[in-house]
Amino acid sequence: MHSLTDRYVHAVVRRVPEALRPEVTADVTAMIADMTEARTEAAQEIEDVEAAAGSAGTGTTAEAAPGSAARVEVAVLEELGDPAALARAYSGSPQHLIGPDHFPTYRWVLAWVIPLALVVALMLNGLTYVVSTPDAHLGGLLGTAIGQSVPTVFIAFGAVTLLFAIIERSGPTAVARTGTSGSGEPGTSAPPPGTSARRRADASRRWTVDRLEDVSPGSSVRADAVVALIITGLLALIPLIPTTALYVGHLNDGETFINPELGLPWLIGYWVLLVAMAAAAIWRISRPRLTTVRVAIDMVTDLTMAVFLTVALLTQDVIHPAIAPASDLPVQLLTVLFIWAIVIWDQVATVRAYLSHIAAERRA
Amino acid sequence: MSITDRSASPDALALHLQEVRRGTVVLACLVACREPRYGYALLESLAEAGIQVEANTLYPLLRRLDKQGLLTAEWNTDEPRPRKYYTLTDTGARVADELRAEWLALTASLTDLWKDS
Repeated sequence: MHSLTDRYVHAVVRRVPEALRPEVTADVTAMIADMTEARTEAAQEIEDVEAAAGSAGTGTTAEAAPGSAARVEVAVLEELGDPAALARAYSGSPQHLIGPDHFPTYRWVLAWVIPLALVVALMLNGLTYVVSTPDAHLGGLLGTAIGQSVPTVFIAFGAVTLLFAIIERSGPTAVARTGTSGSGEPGTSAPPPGTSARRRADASRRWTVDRLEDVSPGSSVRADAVVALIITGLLALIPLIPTTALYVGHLNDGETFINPELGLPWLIGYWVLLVAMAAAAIWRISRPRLTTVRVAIDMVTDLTMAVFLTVALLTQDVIHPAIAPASDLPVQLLTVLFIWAIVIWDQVATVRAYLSHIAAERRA
Repeated sequence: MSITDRSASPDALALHLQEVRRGTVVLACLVACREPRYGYALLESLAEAGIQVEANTLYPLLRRLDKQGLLTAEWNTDEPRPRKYYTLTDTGARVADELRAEWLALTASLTDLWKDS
């Protein structure tokens, strides 16, 4: 049976990082011992006074001694309060996963990674299902594609979060921050306001006007354009992807997913449109401003691409003939629907980004 | 600020009092540790001086000041119970001087402001 004090010390120590434990154990033990001593002395004085004043009293003071020791212990521990709060005060590491410094970037990365992961996973899982299941049907396609894509989205979310949690703990500001953090009263649940004020002071010391450009409305335009450029590059590779990449190479001896008989003009048309998109992205990177004309050009290019792909898919045998017969599903039609879903979503996102850019510029 | 915020003024007062006091505890600790002291003795001398601070705030704070090099810590095992004695370092003394200068400047500024209004 451990004493209350032992249990309290353990409750504090087990919540602090391994390296601090011996030190914190000694510190908390000494603190409790000192407080207990002070309280016992104070209680002793009161008892002495009471004993002197009431010599005709009940005479229970002698047998009350062990009980009062336990009471003192309880009083001391309750004065120290929640062990978790005390452990927080001792602990140097940040008590959050991703702090305010990195949170905006974290959200921006998530806003790109999650939809991308979802689209790519839906596409790959859907395609794999269609070409590898003999009696493929629409319900099975939706169920398999969505069901197998959900874990991918969670993995993407987890990976991004983990990455930022590591950045949060390894950045140069992390060390400076731990020096001052935790100065709050352990009894209060709210974050110590002094800490954030000091952190702002730290940040403002490093801030120069050069950094203003990073927060200008153009920065998100440029960052988005870089991602768009990368995606465009990946899209350009799609006609070259061999079926072996999805473990269905046996269907057409590892040729591409695209029908090799497809007329070269269709492929050239596809790549020309992608080059136009890439050019627009490079333009946005070099001069990160959104104007009505530029946004209109982007939207028209995207729509042209969607129409081009629709025509191609509906009039030509775009998908490799060795794959298509593997299912009774209207794969071409489903692909068209999928493309239009993405394009409409992209158009909405483009308009929203444009509106927020206009609003930001008006503020600036 | 809306009118409803005024009803929360006791809480706001407590919050701001806490903030004002928080900064003073560091300076008080540095000044009081010009001669070696262990945690509880420091707590008592601060209390005598009229600076109320809880043990659960003071002990972690002393450890942080030690880590920042403003105080040095040494376990004294001569006494019946080992006690950690904190002493002001040269760096700590310089910081304390600067904090005190800042404190006096703030007091002067506040006094001026008070007069103006």
